[in-house]
Amino acid sequence: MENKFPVGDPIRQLAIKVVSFSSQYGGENSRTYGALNLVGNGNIFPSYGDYTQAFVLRTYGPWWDIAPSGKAPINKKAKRNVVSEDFVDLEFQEYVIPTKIEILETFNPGAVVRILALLWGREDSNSAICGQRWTILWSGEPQKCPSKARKFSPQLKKTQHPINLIRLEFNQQHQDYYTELDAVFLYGIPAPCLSSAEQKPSTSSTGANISLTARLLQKLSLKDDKDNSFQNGLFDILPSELIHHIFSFFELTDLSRAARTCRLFFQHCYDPVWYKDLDLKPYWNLVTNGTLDSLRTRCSATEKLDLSWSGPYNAVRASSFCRFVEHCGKLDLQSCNSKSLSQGWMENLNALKNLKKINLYRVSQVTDYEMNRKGLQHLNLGGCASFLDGDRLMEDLVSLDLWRNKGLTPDGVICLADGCILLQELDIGTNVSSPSCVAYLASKCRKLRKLFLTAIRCIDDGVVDALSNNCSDLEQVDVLGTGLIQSNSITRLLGQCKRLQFLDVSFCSQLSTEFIRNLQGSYPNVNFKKSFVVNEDPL
Amino acid sequence: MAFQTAVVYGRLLASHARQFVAPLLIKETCPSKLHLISACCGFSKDFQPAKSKFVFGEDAYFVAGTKHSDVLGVADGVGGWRQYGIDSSLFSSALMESCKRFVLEGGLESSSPINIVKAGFQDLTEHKEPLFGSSTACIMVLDKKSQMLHSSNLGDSGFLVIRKGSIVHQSSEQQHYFNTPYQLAIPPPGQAGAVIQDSLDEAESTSFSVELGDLIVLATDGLFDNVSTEQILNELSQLEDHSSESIQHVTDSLANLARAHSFDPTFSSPFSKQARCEGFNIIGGKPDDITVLIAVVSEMGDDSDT
Repeated sequence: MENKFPVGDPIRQLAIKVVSFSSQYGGENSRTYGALNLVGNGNIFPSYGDYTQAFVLRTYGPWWDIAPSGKAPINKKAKRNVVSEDFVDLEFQEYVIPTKIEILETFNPGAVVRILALLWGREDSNSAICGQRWTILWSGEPQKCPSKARKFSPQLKKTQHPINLIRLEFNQQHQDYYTELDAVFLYGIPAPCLSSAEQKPSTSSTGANISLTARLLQKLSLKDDKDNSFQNGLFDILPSELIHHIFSFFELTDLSRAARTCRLFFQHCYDPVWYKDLDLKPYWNLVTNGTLDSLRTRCSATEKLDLSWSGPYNAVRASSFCRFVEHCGKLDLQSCNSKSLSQGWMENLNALKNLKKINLYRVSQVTDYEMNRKGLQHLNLGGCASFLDGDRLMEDLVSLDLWRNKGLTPDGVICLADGCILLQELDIGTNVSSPSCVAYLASKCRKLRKLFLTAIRCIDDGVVDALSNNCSDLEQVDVLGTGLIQSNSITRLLGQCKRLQFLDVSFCSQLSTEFIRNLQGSYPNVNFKKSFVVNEDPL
Repeated sequence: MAFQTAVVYGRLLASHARQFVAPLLIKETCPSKLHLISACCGFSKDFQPAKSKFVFGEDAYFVAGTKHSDVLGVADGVGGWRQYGIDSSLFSSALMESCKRFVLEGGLESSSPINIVKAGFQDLTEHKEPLFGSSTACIMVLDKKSQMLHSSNLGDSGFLVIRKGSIVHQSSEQQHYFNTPYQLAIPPPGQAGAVIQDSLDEAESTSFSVELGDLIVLATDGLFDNVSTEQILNELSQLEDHSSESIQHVTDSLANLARAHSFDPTFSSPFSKQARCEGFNIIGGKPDDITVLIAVVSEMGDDSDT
């Protein structure tokens, strides 16, 4: 857009591109409930409701965490109280000094917890991540908001850097249902003629921190040159266990900084025990080939690795990645969509002997992941293009997420039922299926605790009855969007499955809001979900 | 720039919100390109008040413009679903709405109308709220730079391109058998296989090089079943100039003619003629929803209407 305004007056911009995102309710390459809806002017605001034209994330509330596949207890050492669970990166046409950001929230507002902006040189935009630095424009607690559309415009931290790419981070733990966004506007003063010098990221605060640490250490150290054994000051007389205990309060970046100070610290900081559970997700913006290569020497014992969100903007190469994951038993690669990762690393995954859990949600390169491996318990292939053909079975599988996976056929469901009787969690939302094969699955997989049958139009009373009769452990059930389920079978399900906590019956045309409201009264421990587009009262 | 166009566009649409018509004008600054000035008029066969200005009974349409292309589309919801308690107008209007959004939000690449319908149809299958029904669809895209008019047609809606009073390009009708067009469908569970459900691969796609001053008539079968091509050409010859008012005027009169014929029990309509060829004894017009879009290929930044 041409800049018709004199420099100094803020302009209002619409997002022109969604660069990256962590999850979406909609399918790949689809607009319905997808991140692409954030491009351009909004369609919904000021209406409030569950609209297809909104950007909807994949999860909300505690439900995904408490499911059998729930988040692995990967060491959480990050300093923030509020964990960002999802993000979306939006690009704008013009570089501006940001003055205001408006986020149109049109369903369950209050999930935005952080707004960041990317500082990078225009010339560098295609090259490496080393030119990148993110600055936090705003961060706050998740908010509980009234059920109406909201124009969220938090007070931004002042920055002198021109930006055109922002990241919104979300936390939906407190939400009763999906948060939905309509559009995002960036206001700012245009910065038309920036020299490349101005664009270069300034020295980061890391340097300052390190010098601070160094000064602190200087104070601590005893300058006794005569005795060389006291090179590390008082730390030399501290028992190793104590130092170890102190270091256990460090997060990953602290360890890396401390390692640079002296040999003693280096030894402690490079102890593989710190890297047994390696959660790189909070540092997604720092993860590069170099990061992985330098971490590798410390990670001889890494068993759990979370690389989610890493790799956009070509930060991670296949070779670096492959060398890294040799020992992993749990691997989380959610939305790890580096274009430069090629086919080769898939083979490398197939070579991992001890793998028990792998999350490949929206990893675009998944083409031929070998399913028939023994020992694999948790598999997330959501949003991937392919799944399985009949003869590939995973007998140890406990959880399987095939949300919007286009490869599952009714025959595939039968195969699952025959092969994976240990299954406790299954999400086949939006897949094509038939009621008979889902009922068959229910009769075979009696340990099911979570079953998502979202938007499978053919799910009928027969399926619900099969669940009532066979799967008494059920805790979470989603049968959104079928017109064939009647109130009687739902009542039976609630009677039989005493552990039920979560039941999504949104857009089930035969189940009235009033009926569900009455059920809520009778079953206070069950969380009923009945979403709406317009003209209906929310529960 | 797409957004600016969209804004211009939305404002114009809004200014005509209280009519059944939507003359449109997409203004750009580059004079060497072509664009479409279009108008629409239509009627619901049951005289029900329209639910939206883009819907006439079970017919629906959209007009959308971007920096690189102008897009027109019509869809005709198949009425047979009423006996299943399904309102087909929801299907056709949602299809057009999705297609329009796809175009305006920059999804359009390489001026491919089939990709617009594919994306629009894909959208419908992914709603949380179940949406069933079926519809024909005809989409036309003018690539402003290459001056090519691309079309994709599934079913018995259609278009004519008229140059200097004669037809130079037109769609062909796609029917399985008499009065049963090819159609896109999302059948309710249990009905799959029992209903006609055609793939978009069967859509007829054409590309045609247009010239300044060419007229495009895009309409549902409500027009073509009730007004012969000779009469359409005759009506179009009344067009005085290429201002949006004149185009709107001709569009209105053509749609009105179709409606008059459709309720005339004695009129020898194209529909009744074809029916007799098929061995059905039908006379008179065919009462149906009618949607007529007329567009003039104009030079951008060079039209009398500002």
